[in-house]
Amino acid sequence: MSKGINYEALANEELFALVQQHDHEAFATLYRRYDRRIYAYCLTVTKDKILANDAYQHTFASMYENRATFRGGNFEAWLFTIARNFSVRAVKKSKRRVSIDERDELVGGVEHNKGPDTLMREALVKAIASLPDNLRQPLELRYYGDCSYDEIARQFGFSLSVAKIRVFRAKKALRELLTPQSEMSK
Amino acid sequence: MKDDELLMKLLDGGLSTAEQRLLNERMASSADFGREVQELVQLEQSLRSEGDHAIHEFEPLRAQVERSIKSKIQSQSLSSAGAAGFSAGMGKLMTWAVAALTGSLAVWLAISWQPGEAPSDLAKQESVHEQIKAPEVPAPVPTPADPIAREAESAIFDGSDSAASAPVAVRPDGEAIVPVVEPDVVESDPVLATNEPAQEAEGQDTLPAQVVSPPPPSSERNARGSAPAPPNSLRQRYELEIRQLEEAMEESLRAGDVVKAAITETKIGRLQRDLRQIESSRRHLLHALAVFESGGHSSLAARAYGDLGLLEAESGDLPQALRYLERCIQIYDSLDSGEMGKWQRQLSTLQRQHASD
Repeated sequence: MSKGINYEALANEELFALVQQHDHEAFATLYRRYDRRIYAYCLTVTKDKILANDAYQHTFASMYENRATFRGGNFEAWLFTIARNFSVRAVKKSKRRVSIDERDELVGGVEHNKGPDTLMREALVKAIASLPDNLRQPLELRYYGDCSYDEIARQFGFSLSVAKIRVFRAKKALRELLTPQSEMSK
Repeated sequence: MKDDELLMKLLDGGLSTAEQRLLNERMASSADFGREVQELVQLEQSLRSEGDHAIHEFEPLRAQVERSIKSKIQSQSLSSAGAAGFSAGMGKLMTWAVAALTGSLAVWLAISWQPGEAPSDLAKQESVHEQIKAPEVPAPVPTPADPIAREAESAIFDGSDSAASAPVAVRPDGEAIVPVVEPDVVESDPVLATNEPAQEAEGQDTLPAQVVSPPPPSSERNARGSAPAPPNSLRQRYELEIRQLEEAMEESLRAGDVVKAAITETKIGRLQRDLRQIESSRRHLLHALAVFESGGHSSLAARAYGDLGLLEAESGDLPQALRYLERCIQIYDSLDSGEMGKWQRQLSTLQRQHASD
């Protein structure tokens, strides 16, 4: 807290008005509120950590650089729109080049150095990436973004119960993807 | 209680003792269910650990971005403070210089002007005197902190050359969109003819009949393709309607009915859109949207997004219009609402128009 302002008590729009006046404490507060959610959101759109990192950095840099273009209204919606645009752009750019994974595979792969935990994590990440968007996105916000069901519901514009059901269905779908068919039918 | 409900509660850590007992019973009676529970619990742990791992990996990036933007803010803050000081100093200097010049000229006029001079000369001198009385003070040098500079900065970021830093509108296929306004929508769709695509969506949320006018012929449309502002008599009726709605809104607020007030606000916003009062319309619609979103009124929020989309199309900001319409459709889709088709037509028409351009 500085200048006697309780930053945590301020609404997003009030904080951003202070950011527009170069208040770095207000920025830090907003950043803490959204960093994980924006990162998770970038991840849900890009399905790739490197691209998500890129989109995430651009989102916050752009939020500050373009502060004058914010016309009031819903700050959260504005911020997520920026994140979405940068994520889509990152995906588009990446399609123009051979991915690092593909290159690794071309030169013989790197699988032999990985332990069982790493392989299990990779299987989980791949399974998550293969889920349909309507299940994957709420799930990623829940676990990568540490979002409550309320926040997920607000983000996608559906009800709390729909948010819970989608996350649960995603988990059931993951179980099916990760469990060998022979085990499932036992 | 169904198995899935029990499982959801188990995974989210919300099982009561009775529910836990019920779950145990079901696990004991069905080996398959027991296995499913075990696997889902294991998966839950993996997901949490994966989430923690991702956040752990992300932490250095998080800290780096925060540091970099904070230092940018601090340097901006210092430079704007410096510029403001310079601007204030220059302002004082100019005021002093103008006052000194005014004084000198006044003295010169008092000495040189003689009564009885030709009227034309007198007129000239009066004119000079007028100029002295109201000297042109140069505008202060804009700094990033003042509204003029902000406006200029905003224009830069709204411009077409903003790809590197400004958010860009993209279609679902990832293609960038440039602003364009669709003229055919209003003509082809009778519901859209009044720019009110979802009037029948909510019984209480419709415009009063007397202010709804038929669309003007296409020849009256301006170069961008949007309908011209209503003629004066109609404009007066719109303005009267707006005043009445404003009173109704205040009454709702006094009664503590924030949602009703916001619904009225959307009506005001739509009327203002028809009157081309873009800024006021935007302000009302955004405010109403914030109320609907914070109260979880998804259907009303979707409609407000749609209205904002039409407003931005009207203002010529098509990328923003498309973003709003996409959000509107997304919400209606999640609600499985019949309204979605109407807005989808609107969106695809705008996109088609863009593609043809």
